[in-house]
Amino acid sequence: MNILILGAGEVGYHIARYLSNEGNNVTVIDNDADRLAMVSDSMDVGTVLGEASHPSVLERASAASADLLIAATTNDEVNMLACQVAHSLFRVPTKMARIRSMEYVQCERLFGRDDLPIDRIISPETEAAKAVLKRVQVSSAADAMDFAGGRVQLLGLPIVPKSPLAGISLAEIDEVVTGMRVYVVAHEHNRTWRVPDASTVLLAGDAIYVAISRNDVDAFLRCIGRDQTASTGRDVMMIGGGNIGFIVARELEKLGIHLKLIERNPKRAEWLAEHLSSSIIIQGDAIDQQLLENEAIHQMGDFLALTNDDETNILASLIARKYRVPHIVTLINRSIYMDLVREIGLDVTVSPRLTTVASILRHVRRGRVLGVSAIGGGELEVLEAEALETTPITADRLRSLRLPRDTVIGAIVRGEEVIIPDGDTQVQPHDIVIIVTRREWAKAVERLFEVQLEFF
Amino acid sequence: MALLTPDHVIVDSHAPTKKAMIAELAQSIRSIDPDQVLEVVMARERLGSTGIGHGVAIPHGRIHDLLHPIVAVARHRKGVDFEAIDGEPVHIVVLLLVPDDDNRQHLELLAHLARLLQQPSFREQIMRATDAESLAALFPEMIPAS
Repeated sequence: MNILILGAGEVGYHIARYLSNEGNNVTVIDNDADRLAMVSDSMDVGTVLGEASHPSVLERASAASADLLIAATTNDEVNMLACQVAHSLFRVPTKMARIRSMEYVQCERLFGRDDLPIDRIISPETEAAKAVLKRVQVSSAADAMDFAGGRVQLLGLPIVPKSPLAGISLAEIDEVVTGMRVYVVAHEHNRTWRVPDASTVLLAGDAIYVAISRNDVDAFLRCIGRDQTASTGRDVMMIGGGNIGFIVARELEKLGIHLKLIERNPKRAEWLAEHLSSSIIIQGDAIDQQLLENEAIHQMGDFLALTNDDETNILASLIARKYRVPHIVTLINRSIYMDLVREIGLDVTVSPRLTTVASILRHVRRGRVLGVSAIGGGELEVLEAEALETTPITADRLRSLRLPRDTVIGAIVRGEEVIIPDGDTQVQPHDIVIIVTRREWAKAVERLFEVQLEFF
Repeated sequence: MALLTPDHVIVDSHAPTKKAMIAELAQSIRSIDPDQVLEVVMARERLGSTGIGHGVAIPHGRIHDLLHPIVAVARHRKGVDFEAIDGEPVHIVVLLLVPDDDNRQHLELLAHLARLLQQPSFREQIMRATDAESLAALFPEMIPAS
């Protein structure tokens, strides 16, 4: 595919590297020569210097032959205008734009074929808020991802000592997890992630991802002794009531969660008090230990550090840990901090930029692949795809299909029904398939979802 | 009625990419909005390439309000990357547009074109044709005999 990426900042850089590694023909446009030099030094892509929305610049970047344009500059207006120019002058079929301002994002009528021609809007703050909410909702799992509109979940779980899962092989898992079907799709042992098979044995200290129907999550977590605190009536403390904080707070209120929100800016605190209903808004400094203590930080079930200052978030999270808050989510803007933060033991982090990169990449797929997410530090990928008529994936029962190596089908969604498959299952046209594979086989897996010539 | 008329033939395309080639073919069909053709056909290509190997591709799609099938052909000496199943560049592109109805005949027409283009002698004739008229004359009448 010919792909045009506008903006060589952190988001553009990561997307360009990923897509060029996958063998796409990538061109990056930026108005900063130094940033472009960094891109062209570290990957095999073309670069064009200039204003991303200028017709002459897009022409120099061969926009007319581009299949996809990703507008990821830090300027909303440039991104939107570039999509319009690419549409009107160069007929670029698919256009995505990163748009931060909620003024635009919330205005759905603005976008469409006859309006602003943008096929998908990626809002870093909405994406980050969604990621934070996910972490709050399934707090007894280290990670939780939604597939097929939430019908299927992938739960990331550590195997703790004395867990009922410790010491059993996957062939025996039905004896421990009764009354429901789950599929273990990824397994970490000695810091290496693999796609497991029936003979894989789970040991304390390992970690796994399981595919499971949404309806079975609570029962499953109970079954393996990781009881989830009911979300209603839970006490949550949040610092930072910016755009991300506000979206998260609004959603938490809907879940009936008791929220205390600390915001430093008095005007913003007032605004929040007006626009939120059941939450308690406290105007004050997030790292004022006395304030946190007065607000009963030690009684909180969750602590969410969501200010736009990384250092404040990290410090506040460390204070929360000192008070033994069981579940802490730390927002990190600069990705260079991510590793550091994990080193000091804050393991649930959300990065607006990296979630933006992930959600853009999720939509850059050919065929009926609806999304791709990385798990296990990027070694493994989860693909969600619709099986159309004539595709190889529907050709036979799973045991007879020739899947690429290290590839498993974790779940199939047929209408509303979630099927955790076995060898006798056969994928039918219009099923949604959730499939886990090693990154190097992702291309081969995508081919299973390509239609044959006779598909109209 | 001929399936392919000379005005729908591009004897010597220099389009640099798959998309440019389909856009060029769409332009040659005066009766339909070229943007619509490009959109429909590229959307179908994203589901799986119609490059069937041996330097041949048969991109196709359904067009609303079309009365009968339309074929347009482009020949490309150098070859264009079409993400074909054999990975080889494509020299012969046969664009097929059909009405938006549930008609088995469209499938038969597509299968018929695919069978024709699988014959090495037919491909050679296309590559050797000296002008649009002689190239168009190689293609059969509207309804395949099969």
